[in-house]
Amino acid sequence: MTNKIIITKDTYNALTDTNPKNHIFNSDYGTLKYLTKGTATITIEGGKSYYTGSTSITHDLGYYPFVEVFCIMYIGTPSGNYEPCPFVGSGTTVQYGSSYRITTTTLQLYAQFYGVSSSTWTFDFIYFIFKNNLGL
Amino acid sequence: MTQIITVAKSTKNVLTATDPNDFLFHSSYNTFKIIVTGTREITLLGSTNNQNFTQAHGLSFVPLVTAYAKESGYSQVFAQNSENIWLWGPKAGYFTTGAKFNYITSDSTNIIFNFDNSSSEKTIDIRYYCLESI
Repeated sequence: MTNKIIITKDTYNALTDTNPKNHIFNSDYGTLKYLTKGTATITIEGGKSYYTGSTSITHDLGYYPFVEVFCIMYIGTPSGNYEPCPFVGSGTTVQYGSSYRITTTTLQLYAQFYGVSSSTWTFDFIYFIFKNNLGL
Repeated sequence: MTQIITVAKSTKNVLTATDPNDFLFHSSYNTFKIIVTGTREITLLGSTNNQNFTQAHGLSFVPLVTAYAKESGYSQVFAQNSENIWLWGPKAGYFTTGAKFNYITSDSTNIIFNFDNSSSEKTIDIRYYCLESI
C-alpha cells in the first residue's frame, strides 16, 4: 500500500475523493518550492535617447528555475497596477514592454519603449524565484 | 473546533500569526498542485509565424498551463509572450534570435504552444506545467 498525505477542502472526504481540485494538499502532486522574492527597478531616460534597460538578479542555482515576474510601468508618480511580465502595452505614439530571461545563475529583466519620448520611464518589477528545476 | 495544519516561516508564531504570507503551509489555503509536467522538443520552420504545436495532457479537465522555452545553442530560457533575447543595448534595443513564444493555451485534450520565427529553422525545448483545472 502506498502511503500519502491528503488534505481536502471542506465537505470533501480525504479517504475517498480523488479529484485534486478538491484537495488543499496532495502528496501525489508536486508544488512550487519558494526560493526568494524581490523587487527591482529599471529606469529609462528617454531624454538621453535611451529606450532599453536591463538589470540582473543572481540566484546561482546552477540550473534554470521556475520564475514568476510582474511589472508596473509609469512615468512620474507610480500609478497603475502590476501585470504579468512579459507584457507589451501602447499609448498614442509609443509602445512599451518588459520581458525577462533565465540563465543558470541569473534572472535578467528587460524593459523597453518604442517611439519618441523625452520622459523618464520607470518599470518596477516583483519577481518570485522557485527552486523547481525546469530541466531544460 | 476546526483543526488546521500550519507551518510558519522562521520568526513567525504559528499559534498567533494570521497573515497567510507568514506561513509555508496552511491547510486553510489551497496550494498550486503540479498535476502534469513534461518536456517537448519542437522544430520551428524558418521565417514562419503563427506555428502551433500540440501536446496531449491526458487529463479529464481543461488545465491551467504555463511553460518555458529554450532554443538549442543558447544558454537562456524565455517565457511565453516573449522573444529569445540574446543581446541588448540602452540605445540599440533588444537583439533576438527570431524565435518568439507567443502563447500557451489548453483545451480538453491538448496543450497548444504557439510560436513565431523570423529567422532560420530552430529547435526548441519546452518545459510545460498543468496546474489544476481552470
